[in-house]
Amino acid sequence: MNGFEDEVRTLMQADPVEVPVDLDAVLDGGREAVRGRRLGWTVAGLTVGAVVASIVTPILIAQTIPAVPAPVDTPTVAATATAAPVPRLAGTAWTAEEVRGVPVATGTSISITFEDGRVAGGDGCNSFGGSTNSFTQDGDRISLGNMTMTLKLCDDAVVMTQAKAFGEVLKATTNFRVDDGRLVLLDTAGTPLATFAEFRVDGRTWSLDPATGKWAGQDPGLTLAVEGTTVSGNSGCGSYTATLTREGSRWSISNLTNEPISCPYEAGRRSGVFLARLAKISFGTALPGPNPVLLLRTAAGSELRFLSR
Amino acid sequence: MAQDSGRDAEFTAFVAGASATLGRTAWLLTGDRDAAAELLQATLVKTYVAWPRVRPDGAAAYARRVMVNLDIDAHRARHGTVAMAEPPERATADRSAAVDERERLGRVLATLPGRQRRVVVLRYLHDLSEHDVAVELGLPLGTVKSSAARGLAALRAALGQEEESHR
Repeated sequence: MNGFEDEVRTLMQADPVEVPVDLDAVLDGGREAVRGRRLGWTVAGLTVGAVVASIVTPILIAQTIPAVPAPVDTPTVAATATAAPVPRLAGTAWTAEEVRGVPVATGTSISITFEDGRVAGGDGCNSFGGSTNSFTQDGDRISLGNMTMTLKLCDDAVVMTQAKAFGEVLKATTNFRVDDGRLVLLDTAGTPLATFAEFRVDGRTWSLDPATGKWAGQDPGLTLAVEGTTVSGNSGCGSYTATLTREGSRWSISNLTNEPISCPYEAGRRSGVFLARLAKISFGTALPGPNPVLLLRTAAGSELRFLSR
Repeated sequence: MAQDSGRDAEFTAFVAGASATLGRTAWLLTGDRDAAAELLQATLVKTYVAWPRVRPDGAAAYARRVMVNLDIDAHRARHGTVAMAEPPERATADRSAAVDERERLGRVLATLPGRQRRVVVLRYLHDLSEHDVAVELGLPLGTVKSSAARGLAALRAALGQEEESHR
């Protein structure tokens, strides 16, 4: 192939192709965009100034990532064509396949979850999370900021290198696109920074985490499975089904029914508590990783935490 | 204002030096004169905005990345393949054999899928290594290698066929 490669290279490089440039239009467009950008950064600077770095304990907050101002619009080729609809990221979760062009090492995991106004995730060593307003989306522009990160030291050099690169990606991200179901985070130049596969809540069996909450230390075998607008599972005393409505990270349950079976008093009571809480959920989010978690929460703050089998 | 005029002067000099290569890249990526001009224009505007950060050494690479990414966006928006229109005319009326060859290459290149076309252009017009192409396009190295191989094979087959039909 070498001879042909040289031939292609020579053909491409040898003879100039004249494509006209309207330099005045470029300068006018550029100046206008710069003026808009200066205004945008002034406003965003207030947010950056409000960020207070936090250092509490080695396992708590250690790093604050300032908000990145979203870039201003500039004329693009895409803008002149019929643009594909931009997906809404809130309510989605992703696991990284590549960071800065380097595949994520086998046996390690980097993830990011977008909620309404909030971002969370893990870099394979530490986890990070933002307060409300840590994530905003405007079309294909996103702003990530006001995040705090745990500060654990991990022995594995590969994990630490990946984590460092991912931290830089979070700081530089201003835009995104979704190609063939894959999320690509981009910088202001549109350069791909990291690529992610979608983590789907659907199609898995989730088991109530036996290590936390009201049922700590027990494994009552309560499960939950999501398929589109249907949620179903084992309540610990029969099987249940319900209609699920999802809009971003806002979840709600309706038409909840349980097919009761004969079961011990304690199992029946536990089942009743579980179903009552499930019926009141107003929030749902998935946290991918080596041990994926599905977190459901009621408006009053009660949680149901599930692990993926 | 003095700051802007300094930026304008530097940027204008950059355009004078880089527009031939960028224009050729735009044409090979789009396969169409008007689309190439539009792509080049949009690329330069974005580069102007980023000028304080990228000037002067990183400007050419930055502009190339912007152009490729704009092409990806446009390709996605079109949801289809690029139809090859007439290649840009040269300034001179004489058409050498080299120009004909180049135009044949452009015609065939335009029939390749977008990813293969971008890989081939970055690899052979810009002489980037496979690794650098992978980083620039955000693709696995294996995908770059296979795209380059498939792209070259398609070019070789198509150019060979054209040659046969001209005999």
